[in-house]
Amino acid sequence: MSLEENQNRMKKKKSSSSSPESPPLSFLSLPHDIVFNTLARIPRTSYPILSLVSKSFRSLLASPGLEAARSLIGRPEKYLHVCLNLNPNPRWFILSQRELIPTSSFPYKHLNSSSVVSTGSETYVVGGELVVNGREETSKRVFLIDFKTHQWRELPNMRLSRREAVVKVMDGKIYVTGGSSKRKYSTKDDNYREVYDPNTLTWEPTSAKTFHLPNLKSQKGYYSSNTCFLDSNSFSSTRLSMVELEKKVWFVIRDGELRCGGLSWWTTVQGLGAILSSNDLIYVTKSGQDKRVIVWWKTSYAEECETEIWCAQILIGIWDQKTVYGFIEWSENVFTLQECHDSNDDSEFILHSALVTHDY
Amino acid sequence: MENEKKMITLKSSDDVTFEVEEAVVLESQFLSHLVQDCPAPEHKIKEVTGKILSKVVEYCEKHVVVVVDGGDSSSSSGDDLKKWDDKFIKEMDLSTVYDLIAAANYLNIQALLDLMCQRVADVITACKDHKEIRETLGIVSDYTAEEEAEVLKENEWAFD
Repeated sequence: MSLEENQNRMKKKKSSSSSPESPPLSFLSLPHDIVFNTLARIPRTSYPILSLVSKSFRSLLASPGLEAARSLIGRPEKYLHVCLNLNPNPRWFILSQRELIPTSSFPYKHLNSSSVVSTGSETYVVGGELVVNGREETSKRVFLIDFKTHQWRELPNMRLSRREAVVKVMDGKIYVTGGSSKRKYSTKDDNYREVYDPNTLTWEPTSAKTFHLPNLKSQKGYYSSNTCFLDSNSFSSTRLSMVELEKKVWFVIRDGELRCGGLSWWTTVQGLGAILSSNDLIYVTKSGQDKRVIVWWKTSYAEECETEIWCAQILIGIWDQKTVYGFIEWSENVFTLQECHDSNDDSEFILHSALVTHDY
Repeated sequence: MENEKKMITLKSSDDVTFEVEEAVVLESQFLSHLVQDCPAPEHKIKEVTGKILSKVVEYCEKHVVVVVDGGDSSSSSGDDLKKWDDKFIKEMDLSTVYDLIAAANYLNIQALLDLMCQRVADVITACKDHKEIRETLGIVSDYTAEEEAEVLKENEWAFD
């Protein structure tokens, strides 16, 4: 039955009385479970603005009822988070619907050369280095952000200070190795590897056998979660973003191009001409979907003093070790910075990336 | 051979009547119990006005899964239904949305209730700042200037 028919029927039967005299409803006069049902459908990144509306709004946002409602509605998904090296401080963003949404800023002093790893809704930032009195000092500090609450907090220090350490999650624990001064500690020293248990909040030495460094035999260098540092002749000590798409197949950005390689082979990914004809890629990340990576570049407009950040999702097809194709599924300007960002070295523009599971 | 469709009349608080198929009524848990427990041809719903009940009926008629003879399901496909829902809530003013929420809550139609909550959530999300949210929802702030500044400071990251 259509709307018009309904309305016709209403007209035929003249209503004898007007609407009953009840005060009009307002949002906060609705039952609590309905208020929670509504607030749970608003992106968490809008919650700070909501908390400014009124005291009752603020207490609703802190209520366990809201989390309960979110868990009924929310389907947690994998989101790609990236840390951009902005002025004056780096900042984490969530890639959502082809847009970069800023997240809570890091409330501590920023450390260079930290390592990042994610598990569930949490992201760990491990170690790094800090300039103290003109000297670079490696750090034992570890920070955590939980994207259920968007709150940063500091964890107990590691046993060793580390920069560009390799960090992995296994069975809910955080394993860290490398990045410490080798003069002091041998790689065979149990102290060299340590593990953080979120249940006991402690760091312990470990000799876990399942834990090993990724190793590309054909190149000298070392690897830190999403980054590799190659110091052979052909690659001359460069920091490259790196993604392991499947077992022993890696993707790196090199000379503005996307390259794919395995234990003893490297090749340029073909089929990306539409992007590469006018842009140099600066970064590669996982996409959260099978057989896909996301490549990043930026375009600066010096006159307007604007910088556009672009990315594209690439579906990868590996024919053989000489033929790897990329199919551009989408490409989009995901963020525009109102600042000139015309540096020659973009290799450090995106500092970290992580796939984080949370609702939105 | 053809099943005579059972019709039921719903009467609003202001005596507007709607004749609907029984299947439409079954979208509401409250009404399906009512119809089962008391098989009268007409049911008065004192809590819902004709204006709102017409919307409820419109929604339920669209969402009912009609099984025609032969067993083919003629319910709208998911995508069509989603488009229809979008059109249904688009431009709907908040006071109508609140009334529909109250009606859907009373009649126990979860999908309609969720749709209306989504509408309110979308309206709030579209606001550019907390002042616009206050205006939209008719909320008077009970913060002092100092308190507001403090909350602002706590959440500074969101306001650059």
